[in-house]
Amino acid sequence: MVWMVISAFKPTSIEIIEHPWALPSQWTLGNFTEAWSRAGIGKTAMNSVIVTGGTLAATLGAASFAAYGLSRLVFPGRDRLYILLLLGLIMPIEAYLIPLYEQFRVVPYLGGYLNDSRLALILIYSGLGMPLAIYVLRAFMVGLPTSLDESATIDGCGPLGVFFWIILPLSRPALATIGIFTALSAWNEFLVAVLFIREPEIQPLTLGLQSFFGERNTDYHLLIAALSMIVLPMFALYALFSRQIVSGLTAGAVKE
Amino acid sequence: MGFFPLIAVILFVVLPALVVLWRAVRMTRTYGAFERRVRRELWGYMFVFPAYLFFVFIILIPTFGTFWLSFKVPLGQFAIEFRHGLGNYVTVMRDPNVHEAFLNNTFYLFATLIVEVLVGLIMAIILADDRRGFHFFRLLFFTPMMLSMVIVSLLWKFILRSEGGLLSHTLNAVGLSSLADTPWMAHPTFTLPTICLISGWIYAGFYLILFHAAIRRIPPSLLESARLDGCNEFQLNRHVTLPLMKDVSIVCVLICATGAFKAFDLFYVMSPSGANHTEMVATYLVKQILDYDDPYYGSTIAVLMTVVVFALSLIITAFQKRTDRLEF
Repeated sequence: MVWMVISAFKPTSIEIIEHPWALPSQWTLGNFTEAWSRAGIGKTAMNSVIVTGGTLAATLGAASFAAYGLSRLVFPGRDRLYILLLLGLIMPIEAYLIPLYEQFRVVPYLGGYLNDSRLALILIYSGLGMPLAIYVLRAFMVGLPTSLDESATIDGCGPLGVFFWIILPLSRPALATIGIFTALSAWNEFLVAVLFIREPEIQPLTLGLQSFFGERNTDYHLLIAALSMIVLPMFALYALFSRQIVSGLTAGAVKE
Repeated sequence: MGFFPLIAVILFVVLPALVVLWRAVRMTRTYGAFERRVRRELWGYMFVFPAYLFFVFIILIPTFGTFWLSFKVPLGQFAIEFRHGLGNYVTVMRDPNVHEAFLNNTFYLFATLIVEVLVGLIMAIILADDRRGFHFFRLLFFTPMMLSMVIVSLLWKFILRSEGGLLSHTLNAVGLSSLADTPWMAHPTFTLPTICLISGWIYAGFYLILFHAAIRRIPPSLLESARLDGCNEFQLNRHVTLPLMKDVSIVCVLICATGAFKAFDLFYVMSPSGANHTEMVATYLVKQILDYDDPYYGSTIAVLMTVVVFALSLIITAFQKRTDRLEF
């Protein structure tokens, strides 16, 4: 990766191929600006940010609700429902991609159809991330002491109140973990995006990269500059939250 | 598809909702009033409802759709759908490419168990302490997970290029030029193991994080008392740490094994075009859809793949129940 970032400063692609380990002969920022305009990174990055943000909100919201219901509230069929939701963990995405596409193609949306929209990507990524999110969040919430919500109930909280004032603040580490994993997969996803998105205006970053693969030659120096720009935000995010990730996976961190 | 989604919506959304409501009404009659207990149950369903909707529309209904499609074949150039019964399944069973793909997948499964789970476990044990540099290393090993598959494949293509690639360049520089000409990606014998290694490079960090979280959960008092009893570091790991991590290990094996049969993107972007020896079930499936324009046969393969993954996870979870869980 370090190699990638350093190589991004090299002026031509020939230099990258012939002297891969050497430092750049002259450090240049030109690649970054050129790559930026060529791939329309400003626009595609905006799309990626919208999609990733929407996915994060939908996944964290729905999954934390469900995890609370599945871990704290008692209702018939609860455990069977949980196992059903976990089935999503082992289902391969390729196994249901075609009907999924057909299903989105028949829904009209904003003058076009739902398959060619950012909303479709948000919905699909959320659906795909949901089982893992529920699994981790539920494991975490089961570990939280029940005496806390009992006392809150005595103080007059309903299920919603307990959820928002007690459980949600305590599950912050688990939420951070799931947030990171969800954001990573939405940011990097390629297969669904390439199949669903036709309109160049709403392409996410991973599709924007394709403009670097010319018919005859690939502009490696631009490509590498663009790759560096894609990787760095996620790396920064992970470096910020990495301690939270481990504590989020350590279920039941709160002791009575 | 026709009326299929409508039937599915009635089956998975309307029907369960009616059952829940009916139960609530009946309970209200029995207990006389819209009582606390009824309200509590309804809250439970309401909390799970949004996630359930996502699950039904994104995963469950399309899965049944695939099952539906797998019984059809395209008829002529107008692709009129035609009920074909079990014909596709007979073809799948006789298709030598499918056999090859399943064999490759099995090889990949065992290879990834070693280069991903085992390596991740060993790294987690080595990097278990909270020393200063170790946090940085854990961060470093997790980095490949953050890269998109497109980026990973591009990087490795740079590294493995036969002329002027990073690897052959380096091997030449240190005097191992006989090794430098190994056709890592071009020769049938090398391609699959090479991709397995790359896969290990990507995912070992992920298992490292999972195992690390498990190690952190072990109460320090246990390790303390084992040390007082005269354990050395090796015995400590063998007799205390590993048995306590059985649960997590089985989850990891489950993720790895089911993931191995789902493997797609790495192989799709890395394998040289037209190569058969790296064909995976998933890549063969997608090729059926994109290249041969036969989504019905693809769906049949998908159903087969789902059945295998399902059976595999049943076996592994059964193993989990048999091992007695250690409480701590």
